[in-house]
Amino acid sequence: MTPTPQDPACRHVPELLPWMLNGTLSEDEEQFVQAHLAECESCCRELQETVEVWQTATTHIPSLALAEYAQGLEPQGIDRVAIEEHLAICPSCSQELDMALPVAVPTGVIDFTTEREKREAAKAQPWRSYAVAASLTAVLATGTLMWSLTGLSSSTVQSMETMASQPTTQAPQETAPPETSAGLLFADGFEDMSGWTRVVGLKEKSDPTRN
Amino acid sequence: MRDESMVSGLLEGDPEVIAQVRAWIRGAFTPYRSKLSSELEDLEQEILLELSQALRSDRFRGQSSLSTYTKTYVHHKCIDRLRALGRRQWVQVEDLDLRSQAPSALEGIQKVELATRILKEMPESCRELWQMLEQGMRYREMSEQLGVSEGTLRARVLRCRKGAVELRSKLFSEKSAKKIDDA
Repeated sequence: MTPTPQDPACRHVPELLPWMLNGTLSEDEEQFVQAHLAECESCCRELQETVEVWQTATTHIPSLALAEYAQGLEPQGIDRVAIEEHLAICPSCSQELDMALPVAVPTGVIDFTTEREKREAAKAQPWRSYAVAASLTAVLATGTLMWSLTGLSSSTVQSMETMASQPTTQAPQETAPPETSAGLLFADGFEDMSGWTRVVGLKEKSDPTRN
Repeated sequence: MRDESMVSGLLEGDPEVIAQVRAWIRGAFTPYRSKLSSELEDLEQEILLELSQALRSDRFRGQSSLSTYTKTYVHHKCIDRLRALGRRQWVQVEDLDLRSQAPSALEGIQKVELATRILKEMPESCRELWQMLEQGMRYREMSEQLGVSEGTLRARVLRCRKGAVELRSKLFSEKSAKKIDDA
């Protein structure tokens, strides 16, 4: 039976055509549409139009041109303006472009510090360095003073000078108790405190040379 | 190693050069690993083969480095593969029994330019409907996502289609008129 323009199928079939093209109609719907198209000229013209619009809607930037554009090369066969106009209205081409863009290769060290933290650290750095240098200078000065006042052995002063001259990031070497000479103050012991050596107490030894 | 040496090395089958090119290919695969995981091994072989053929036929002119050329080719192949996967459910238009098989008057860039113009002039709501169709959504899924009945959705798509057909005819005639004027 040849469908008439009033045929309900002629109202229903054109609406289903986009989903026939994207392959998502059910089996029954597919059979129904195909059977009607075989007999209806009017709906075949509707199919023709649907195909044209479908082909327009699914036309994208050629993949090679998109890859060239992404890599900063001159795209072949299509100019940049046309590419950019298309990218402005096509989310799928934009996503493909994002995947094709070159990325920086990580060097193996991931730096999580923010720019702000880096600036603050840079500002604080000099202060810290100055503080540590001042402390060590004080230790050196004290050691020198003590040496001049009490005649501490040169090896003790030397070890103190070594501590003062060591870089701030490096914990000083643990030193053995200094040699003492008669009548001199000497360290009672050394206590290890997380890599730092602390002189524990000072006691006087009788100095036979003193009057 | 300079590009000229690498090209000769690749064509001669130098294992060191092949390893370097494979490393470039695998590096460029990174954004596609989740979507093309089962295809990458085959793609790598395909790309290596096609790259060698391109180098043998002097298609690499040295306008970019060999590394960039390789990576560009990888992206081109991966995008093509993704698009093919997205289309696998579609009906092949060539298989349809269209009563009038009018050949397309436009090819290549002109086709892209016309398509872009039509899509630009289409209402955004219509563009979104066609994008959802292209993603392979069923009308039931689309109606749920858009919060409208299936009947309303189908009628909307039909109206969009008719609007796009008019737009296409209008732009086509403008283009033809311009060609006549230019001639």
